[in-house]
Amino acid sequence: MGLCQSLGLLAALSLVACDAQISGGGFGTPPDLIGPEARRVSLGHAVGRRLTREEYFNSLEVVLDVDLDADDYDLPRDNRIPEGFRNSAEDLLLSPARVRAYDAIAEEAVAQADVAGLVSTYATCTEMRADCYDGFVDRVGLLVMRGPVADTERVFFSRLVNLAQEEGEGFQEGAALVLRAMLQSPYFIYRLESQAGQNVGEGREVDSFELATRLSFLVWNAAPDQELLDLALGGTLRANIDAQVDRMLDHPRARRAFRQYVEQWLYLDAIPESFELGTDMKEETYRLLERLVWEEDVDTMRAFVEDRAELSGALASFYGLPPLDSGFATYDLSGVPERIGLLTNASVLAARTINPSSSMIDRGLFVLNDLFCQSVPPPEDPELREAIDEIAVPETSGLSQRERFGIQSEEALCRGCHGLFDPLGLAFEQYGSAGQYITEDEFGNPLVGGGTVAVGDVNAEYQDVEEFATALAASETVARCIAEKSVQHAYGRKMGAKDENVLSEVFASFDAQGRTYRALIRAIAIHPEFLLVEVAP
Amino acid sequence: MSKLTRRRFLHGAGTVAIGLPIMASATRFAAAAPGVAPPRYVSLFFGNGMPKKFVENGYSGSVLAPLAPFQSKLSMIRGLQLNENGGALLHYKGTARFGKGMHPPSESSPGGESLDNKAHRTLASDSLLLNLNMHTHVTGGNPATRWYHSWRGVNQPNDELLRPLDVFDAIFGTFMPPDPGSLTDEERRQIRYRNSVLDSVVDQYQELSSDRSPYSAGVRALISDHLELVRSLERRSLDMETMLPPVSCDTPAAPADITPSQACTATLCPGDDNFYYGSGGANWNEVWELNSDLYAMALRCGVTRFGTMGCSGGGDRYPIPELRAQGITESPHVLAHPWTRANENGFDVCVRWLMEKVAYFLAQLDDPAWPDPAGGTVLDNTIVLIGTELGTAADNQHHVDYMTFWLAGGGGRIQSGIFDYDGRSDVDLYSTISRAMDLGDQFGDAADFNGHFDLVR
Repeated sequence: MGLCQSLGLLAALSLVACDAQISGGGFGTPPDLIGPEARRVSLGHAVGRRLTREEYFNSLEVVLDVDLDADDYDLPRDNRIPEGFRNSAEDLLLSPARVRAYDAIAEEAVAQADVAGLVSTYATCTEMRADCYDGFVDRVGLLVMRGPVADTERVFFSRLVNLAQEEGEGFQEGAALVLRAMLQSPYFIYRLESQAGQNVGEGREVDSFELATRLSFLVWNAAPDQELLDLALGGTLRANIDAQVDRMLDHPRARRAFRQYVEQWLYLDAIPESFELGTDMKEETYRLLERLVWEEDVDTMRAFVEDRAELSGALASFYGLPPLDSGFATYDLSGVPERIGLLTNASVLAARTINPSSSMIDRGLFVLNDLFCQSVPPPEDPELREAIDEIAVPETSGLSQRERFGIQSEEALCRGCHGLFDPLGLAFEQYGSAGQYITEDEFGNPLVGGGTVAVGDVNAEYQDVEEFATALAASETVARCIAEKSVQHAYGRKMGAKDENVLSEVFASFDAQGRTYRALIRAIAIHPEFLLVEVAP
Repeated sequence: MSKLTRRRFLHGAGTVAIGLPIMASATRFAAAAPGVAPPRYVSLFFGNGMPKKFVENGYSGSVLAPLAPFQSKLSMIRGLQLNENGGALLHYKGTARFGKGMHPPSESSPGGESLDNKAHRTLASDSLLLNLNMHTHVTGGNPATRWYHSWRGVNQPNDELLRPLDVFDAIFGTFMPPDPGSLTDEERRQIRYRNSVLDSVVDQYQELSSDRSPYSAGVRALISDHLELVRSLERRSLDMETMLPPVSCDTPAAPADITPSQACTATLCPGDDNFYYGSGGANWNEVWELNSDLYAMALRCGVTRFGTMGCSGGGDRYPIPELRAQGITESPHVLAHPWTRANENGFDVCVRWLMEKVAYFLAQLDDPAWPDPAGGTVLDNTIVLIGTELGTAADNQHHVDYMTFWLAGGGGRIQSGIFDYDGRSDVDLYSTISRAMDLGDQFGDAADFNGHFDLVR
């Protein structure tokens, strides 16, 4: 058995480099980058990004008011990049299967849509005359294609109305064909922003329709609705960004987007439907964060130390609590220190258990990467890899994970990196692979759960997971990471050194406004970088 | 699916007398002239490497014994190096380079187009030939480089099929139009609507990828790729409408809908996103054989000429169930790490098992019951590239310093035998294949090109 950790984990994560230098996230010392160059950050290559699976189905709901279950269709899931999230513009793939799915889903979505209602809303007349169907195309096109329909495109759609007429059908049948074509339009499938007249590297401010689109995907993970587009059309959206962001945050679509964000940030999508209690486990986490964000609108850092949870009866039993109800009910966990806050949710623990025999490392890396926004680069040197293999302590040694990885970390070769993330994983020593609380492992070794943490601004010893969680809740480094993750998701790309400026400024605003989710989304929405278009090469 | 079911399927295929040779399909699929073998190329990937020890004695060792019956039709090319570093990262890097010869920019994508795709777009771009890609190792598409083997370019994978029924549908569903008389007027109208919608979609993408487009070159390339995929979809849809006569391969009975089985891991079960099907599936062997049968049938019928196959994935973590009885309870990947020349730990048995899978596919192509129009068997007239992502002259298997590849068949142009090209690159090999197929003198990263191998007649 190889490595300073388990093989399977390394193969899956490719994250361990025992001689590597830690690299911080985008935050840190505020950079001296104010100036034109620093402002040229923007969304990067996002000017030509394809909608993700979630964005696509969410957008169908916005424009057609249909609620299709994504799992019923063969639209491939998007890649998750090692830095997290499935919406990295540079890593979005396009396969024939995806294009076939767009065709099939467009047909099904229109079949389910209230086309008569759409015609009633968007057509000023329904005779089979050019002015009638051109008017419909223009108005419904503004919504579906997120901007005005060009003359050339109107011709394409008009042919479909003519076809319906040839077949002896009426306006509504023609409208349905137009909608099917629009749903496969590049303006629906992609987020396109014009670069006419710009040179590579030059920035410009978004136009009104681009702004509507950026705001809606930021808050709703979906296409803009009619109100946003009407404001864009009237030229008043820019003056109403705050109000529109607040309106969107109050809409149920924002909760849907938030769940999708949380699912990816915490890797909850790694927990399948078939996993026992998996749905209940995820629901606990969603409900915890939703309460703090939507009902209470409080500091998001409270999630780490929250002692109240909504649990199903089955999950309560799994936690060793007498169930209050078979369905979900609120439980006071103030006397249950092993179930304090987000990090002790079974969903979070199970999702980050890639290999049960090295869960300590899986979880330690999660804390380092996704809560401190710091990482260790993967090893590139094969000789180093071979040397590491020689040091590994076999999983069958009968030692606890703490003991096994402790032995390995005594090696100088391993200490550099394992010294960073192993201590973070020790906090979760007393949790099995499914997130169950345990006090001894399969070899009968007692598990204690204490350790030290020395990352970012946290430098403390902890006796148990409660002290660990409390330390993280008080950490500015972690709070900055919370903000950075949202910026990364909003921008749809990896964060780098050039993003230090925007990250620092967004965090400053988030911090000054009580670190609420609303404050974070507002800070991203109004930041100049978010409103800048850069020409992609 | 039981063995019985698979046999029943094959029996059914035989009784409906799948046509040979496939002359009726020639116009439809733009085949070569009668008597001349059309160019064909298939790559076959297996995961977790082939160390020097297993190949240094040719086919006389136990690991390569399954390939021995085909050695007169095989070129074994030993000693190549990949220009990559990265330990465990080599699983994806080596896989991403297989059939492409380019450094991958990330785990999401190889560095560019695969050889099968170049052959397909160069030699069959105007035909309805299927670029057929199947795999029996699933990673849920993530990381994509370990799952997709056929790529049009960076971030542009071609479809990869796993389930035999999907392979069957791709071959006989897409390419065998229904009886024209079976369509109702309403069905005909719906087909016409669909074609017109797609026509409109094509126009939109064409407009945005044209010189009039207000978007950068990178964005136009993205739109242009999408355009080609919609065009392909439209072509097939039009084919449905015009009801071209079916190819002379009659459609056999569909196989049962079997899904590769696999036990749950700690957190994932079959069907879940990110779940790995691998060599651990109880019916893995059966899936491989059925898909191999179907793939061979697609080649015989002229439905496909270019594509990829994969019979396991690099870095997977599932033991081979059939080997448990021999005491091998770890996956090939896990065994590869501590494997040494001095101490076999079962890795050799695993690799031999994989060579049996390779041999099965070759045997289907080499079946004399299905003579090729150009003479010989389908294998004789097809270039089959066989390889893996790792190879070492030393102990631990996670290196790329001694890579072994095979070219089977060779399309009548590539010599059989054992060839040592120590230190040469994979790009030299791919460039040799490329030249043999008249696809250009070079394929892969130019910096890694040192010249062609002297393998081509």
